[in-house]
Amino acid sequence: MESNKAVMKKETIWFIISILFLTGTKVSSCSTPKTVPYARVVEMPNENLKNGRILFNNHCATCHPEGLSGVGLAIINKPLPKGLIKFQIRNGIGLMPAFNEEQLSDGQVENIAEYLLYLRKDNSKD
Amino acid sequence: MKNKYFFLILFANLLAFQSCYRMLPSKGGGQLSDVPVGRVIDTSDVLLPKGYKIEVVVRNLTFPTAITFDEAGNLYAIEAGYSYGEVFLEPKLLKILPDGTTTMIYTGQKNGPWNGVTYNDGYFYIAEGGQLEGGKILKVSKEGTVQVLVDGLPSLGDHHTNGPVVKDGHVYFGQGTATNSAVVGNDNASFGWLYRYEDFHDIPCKDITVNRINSKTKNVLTEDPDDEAVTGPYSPYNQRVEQNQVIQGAIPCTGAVMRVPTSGGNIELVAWGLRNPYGMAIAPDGKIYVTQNSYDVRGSRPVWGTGDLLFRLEQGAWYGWPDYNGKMPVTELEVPGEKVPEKILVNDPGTPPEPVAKLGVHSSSNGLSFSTSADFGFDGQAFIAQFGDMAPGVGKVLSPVGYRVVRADVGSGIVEDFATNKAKKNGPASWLEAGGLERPVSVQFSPDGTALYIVDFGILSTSKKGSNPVLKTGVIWKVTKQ
Repeated sequence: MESNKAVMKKETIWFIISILFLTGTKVSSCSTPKTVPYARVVEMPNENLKNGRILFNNHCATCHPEGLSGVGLAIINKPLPKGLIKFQIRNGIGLMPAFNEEQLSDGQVENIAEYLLYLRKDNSKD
Repeated sequence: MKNKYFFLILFANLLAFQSCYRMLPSKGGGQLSDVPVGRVIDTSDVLLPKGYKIEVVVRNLTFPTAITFDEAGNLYAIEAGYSYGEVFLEPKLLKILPDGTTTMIYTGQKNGPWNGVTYNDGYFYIAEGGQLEGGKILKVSKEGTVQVLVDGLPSLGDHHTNGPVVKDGHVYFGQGTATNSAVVGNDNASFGWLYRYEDFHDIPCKDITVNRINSKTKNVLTEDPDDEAVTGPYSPYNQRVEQNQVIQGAIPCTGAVMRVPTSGGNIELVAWGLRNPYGMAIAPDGKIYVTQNSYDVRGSRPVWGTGDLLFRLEQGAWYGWPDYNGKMPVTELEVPGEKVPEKILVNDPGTPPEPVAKLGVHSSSNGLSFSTSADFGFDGQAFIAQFGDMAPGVGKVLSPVGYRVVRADVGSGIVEDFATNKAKKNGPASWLEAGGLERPVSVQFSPDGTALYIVDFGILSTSKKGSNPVLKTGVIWKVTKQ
């Protein structure tokens, strides 16, 4: 059984990590949006990513053209893990609208998140 | 205790997220601190897919907007003769010679912008925007004689007469709306036209019944600073509407695609409810596709976050303006922190068709052309010229949007870059201080499909005061596969 002191220390560490993470994410979101245009042909290696690309184009790309900044912030230059991307899609933090289950199923949200991670990884090769 | 702090700070962070957008300034590609008087051109500044090359065909044009080819493959271009920023010049139809020089075929009156040209069976068909006299469809011979097929089109407002394409013995043309979202407001005074035509307003193509939505603004048409104007939809400035008021439809109307026989005759309605149907092209399957410039964040009824759209034209369809963008109702498209736009129409005249592709908000996705050649690649895809944002006048963007040529798969709706500028950020060449693309306004494949021509309007800076176009900065580019 952990002592009260140990529990408090653990809580403090998690508290600091959480604040740093949230602040870092916010700062990177509000910083000058990085947009690197590209004109290559990106082939998707599997069906999930192909679906993700179609869904992204139909639901997200008007504000984030190719994941970059436009009316919305760039979304492929931030170190958001998949879980937070999915959270953002479902809950729409900031000005982004939330997408409910009628608009996007859980599987579709998963596909979009996977596609964004792939695009981020692909974009970082430049 | 710490949990309380955690949630407090978490909440504060989320609030900061919410305000993030409002804190950031608009960074449109036309928002230049120094507007260059001339243009640097460098083909190596343009990024294309591997295996393609770009060259300059002609430069130093003033407001070029479209090109076409005759049966012998000769290239022709039009200069618009008008640009936002209230610059009125004579529009021109030019033949482009192989050495990049031009000869004049026909000079029009100061009633631009000429927004499109197509050649068919010995004649050029030109969409004359009609900012001063109303829109026209001109039929011009190679010898420069002209026949006016249509005149008096309702083009005196924000948007003009567009297209055209020729199909089945008819000229199909687009007619943009007078306003952003059907209500004449002080944004229209900023354009300049409200002072010229105080009674001009949108005209529905069929009878509609409207809700009592009246917008109160300062009256810019009187000198009394305290005077107010109250304006309803589809009505002249400072004229209100009542609940369930019927607005009579008429042809020609605004926000529509119409057609007229190539030999002249009556105008017929093809489709309506299109905000600004700018680009028009016939796909390999024979269907007509049209690009729509969607709503702006301006005027008495601003609408937020609406991407430009690519539609397959369906005879008789109503495409949703002024109450939808695609299938999305404007009631879900309020400007952050502002009033939710109310629906104008008591009854929808139809169900808006699904867009084929969705394009960037404020990208000004304009002219389009279909690849028909496997040698060029991407056959069957629509190539679309994106003029680029007109921020801040149309609304805020966090980075320049557009200024490129994209290709859209009309089956899946996937949109990808085809030609952009090489840089760490997206934007027009003048903003990047480089020599690539500025404002692509239309694209056209050569008759054999092996070359894509990009018509680049040239430099057009933008600010809250309006637009400032730079003469003799237009370019026509040619892309081929190596």
